[in-house]
Amino acid sequence: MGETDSLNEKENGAPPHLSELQANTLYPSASDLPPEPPRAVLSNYDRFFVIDFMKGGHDQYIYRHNNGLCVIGLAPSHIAVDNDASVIAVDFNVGKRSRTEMKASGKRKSDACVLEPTSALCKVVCNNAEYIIRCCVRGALLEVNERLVKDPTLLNTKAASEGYIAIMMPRPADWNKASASFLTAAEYLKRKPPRQ
Amino acid sequence: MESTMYGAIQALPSEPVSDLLSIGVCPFCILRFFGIRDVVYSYPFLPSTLVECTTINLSKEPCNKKEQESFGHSNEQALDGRTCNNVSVNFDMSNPCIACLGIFQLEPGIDRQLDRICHERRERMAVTSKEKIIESVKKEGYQFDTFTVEISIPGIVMVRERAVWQHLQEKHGSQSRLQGKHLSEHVVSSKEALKGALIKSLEESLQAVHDSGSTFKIALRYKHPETVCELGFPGCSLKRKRGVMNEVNGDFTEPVESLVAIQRCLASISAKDFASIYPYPPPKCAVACNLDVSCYRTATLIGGRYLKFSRNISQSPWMIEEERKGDGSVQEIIADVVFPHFKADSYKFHASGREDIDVRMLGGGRPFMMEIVNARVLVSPDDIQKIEDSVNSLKEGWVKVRNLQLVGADARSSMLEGETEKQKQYTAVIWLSRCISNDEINDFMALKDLQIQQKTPVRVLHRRSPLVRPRMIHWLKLDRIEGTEHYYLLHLCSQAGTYIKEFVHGDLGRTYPNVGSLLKCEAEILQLDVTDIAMDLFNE
Ligand SMILES: [Zn+2]
Repeated sequence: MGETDSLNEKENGAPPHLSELQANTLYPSASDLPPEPPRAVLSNYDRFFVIDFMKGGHDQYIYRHNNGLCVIGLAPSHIAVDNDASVIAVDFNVGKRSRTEMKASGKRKSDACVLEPTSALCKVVCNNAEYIIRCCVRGALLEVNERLVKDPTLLNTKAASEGYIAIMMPRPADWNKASASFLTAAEYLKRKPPRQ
Repeated sequence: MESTMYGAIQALPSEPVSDLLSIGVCPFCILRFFGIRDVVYSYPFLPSTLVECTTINLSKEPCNKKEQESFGHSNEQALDGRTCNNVSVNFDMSNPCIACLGIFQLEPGIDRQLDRICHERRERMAVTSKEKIIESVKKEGYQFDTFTVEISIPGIVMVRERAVWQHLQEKHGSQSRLQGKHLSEHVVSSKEALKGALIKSLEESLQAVHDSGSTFKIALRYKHPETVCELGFPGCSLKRKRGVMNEVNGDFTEPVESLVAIQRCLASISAKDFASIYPYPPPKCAVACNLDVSCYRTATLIGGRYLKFSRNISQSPWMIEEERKGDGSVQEIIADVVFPHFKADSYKFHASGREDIDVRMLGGGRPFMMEIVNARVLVSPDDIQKIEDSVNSLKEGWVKVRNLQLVGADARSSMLEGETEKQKQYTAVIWLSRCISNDEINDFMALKDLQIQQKTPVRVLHRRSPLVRPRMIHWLKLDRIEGTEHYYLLHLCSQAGTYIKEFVHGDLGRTYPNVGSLLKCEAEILQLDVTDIAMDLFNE
C-alpha cells in the first residue's frame, strides 16, 4: 500500500520534500538554545495575585492572557494547599447553579453567565476544612476545570497550570477596576516568599 | 447561403408580412415571428430583400389586393413604399420598430447597406452596437482570443413581442405558417436573433472566436425608459425602487427578478387578460432602446504552493488598530509581483489553512490560489513561469512559490476539501523537564494514530467557540539535540486542524493527552515549522 510505504519512509530521517538547506535549519545547534526554556504559562500570561481575599489565607492567582481572558487558580500560599495535607475534593456545586452547568458557547459566548468578583467558583475540601474559591474579577465564566473533580490533588501538584480553577472573560472596564487592587508577581513574592 | 436565405424570405406569406411592415415592425422582427433561425440575421441586405420579395409576391396575388390596401391607409403620411406592377408595400420606419424598440435597427448591417429603409434611423443612432462594442473592448485594452456575448433585453420588449404576436394570431392566425403555433416555441427570441446578427461580424472585427465558454464576456444591456413594473401584469407589480435608477441620465435598469417575473407571466396570461393591460398591436414609441456595452473577464485563477522562511511574516495582512504586525504577509509579497501582470480590478487570496506568524512553512509548501478579478491581460503558461521566477528572485527571499499555474474552478473545491482532510507534518524544537531514556523514546515513537482531545486553546478562545475537538496524531518521532540534556526535535504528522503548540505544552491540560503527559514531564515548545502538507494539489 502506497500510504504505508510513504509512512515508513517518513519515519527514517528527515521529512520528505525538504531540501538540504531547509533540513539544516530545522536542527538548532545546542549553543543557540537557552539554558531554561520560555514557559508557556509565563510568557503568554501576565500574572497577578490577591492575598486574603475576603478571608485570611485565601490567596488566589489571576493569570491574564494577552487576549484578555483570565485563568483563576490557587496561589501557592493559599491555606488549602500551603501545607502537607492533600485536597480531598473539589465541588463546583456552589451558588444557585452548579458551575459545571454554566456552559458558554459560540464565538461570542453570549449565553455565558456573568459572575461578580465575590461569586463562588467552587469549594475546595481538605481534611478538616472547606474553602470557597472566588472569581476575583467580574466577567463571563467560560469554563471550570472539571478535571479537578476526579483528580483534586492537581491542586497540590500543579495548581499553577493543570490545576487551574476557571477561565473568565472580563470586560476591559471590569478588568481595570478589579486589577487595581491585584498584586504583581514580584509584589506577591515579596509578601509571600516560597516556603523552604 | 444567400440563396437559402432568399428562398426562406420568398416563402413567407406576403399578406401578414406586408401588414407587419405597415404597422411598423422591422424586417428582422418579422423574420423572428416566422421562426426563421440561424445566420439570416447577419445578412446586410435582409430588409430590402424582404420588402422586394413581399412586393413581388403581392403583385402575383391580385385577389388579395383589397385587404392589403386597407392596411396601408391609416399610416399614409409616415409611410415610405415600394411599388411593383402597381402593388405597393408600405413600411413605416419613422419610429423605432414597435416590437424590438429599435434593438435590431441598431445593428450594423442594416444601417450600412439599406439606406432606403433605414436612412432616418441611421441618422438618429449615433453609433451602432458593433461600433460601441469595439470601442468598449478597445478602451479597456482587453486581450482575448475568444469571447462570448451576454444580452439583456428590457421587459417591455417582451411585452410588445407578445402584443405583436397576439395581433398576428388574430388577423392572420389561419395562415399555415402561423396556425396552432405558440409564441415561446415558434418565435425566435431577440437574444438568439441578435447573436445571429452580430457574432459573425464581431468575430471578424475582433479577430477572435465566439465561444460560449469563454472567460471574456461582452455584456450588451439594452434599456428602455418604458418599464413593465407599473403596467400591472399579475405577479409583476414590482416596486420601482427595486430597480436601479440612474440619477444622471434617468436610465432605469430593471432588476433581473422583474424580467423573470414578466416572462413567467407572459407565458401564462390569456389573450383577453393581456389585451386589458396592453394594447395590440403595440403603440408606436418615439424612443428607441439604449445600449450599454460593458466587458469583463470572469475570475482568472492561478494556483501554486508557497513556502515561508520567516517567523515574522503572517499569511494575510495583519493589522491591529491600524498598526501593521510583522514584516508583511505572504499574500502581499506574492500578490505584489503577480497582480500587476494581469492589469485587473482586484484579487482574492485563498490558502488551504494557515500557519501562525512565527511558524515557517517549509517542505513542499502550502497550496494557495489567487482569484484575479477582471484581468485585461491574457497570460500564457510561459508568462506564469516568468511570474513565478520573479517572485522567487525577490531580494528578501522570505517567501517562495512552487508550481504556479493557471487552474480551473474545480481547484477551488479541491482546496476546500483538502482543508479538512489533509494530513500535516511538523517539526518542533521542544524542551522536556527531564532527560528521556532511549526506551522511553522508542515507546513514544511507537504510538500510532493517537487520538487526543483538544479544547479550543486559551489563546484563541476569546474569538472561537469553546469546543472539545478530537484530533488524530498519526505518528511521532523524537530526536535528541546533540549537546543538550533537555532539548529534542519532535517530528509529527497530524490531522488537519490540530493545534500543535498546545499538543506540546498541554495548554493547562486542556489538550490531553499531550507531549508532557505522554512522557510524564513538563514540555515546552520553542519553535515550530510546517514541513509538509499532504494534499494532491499543485504538486507539479
Ligand atoms: Zn424589430
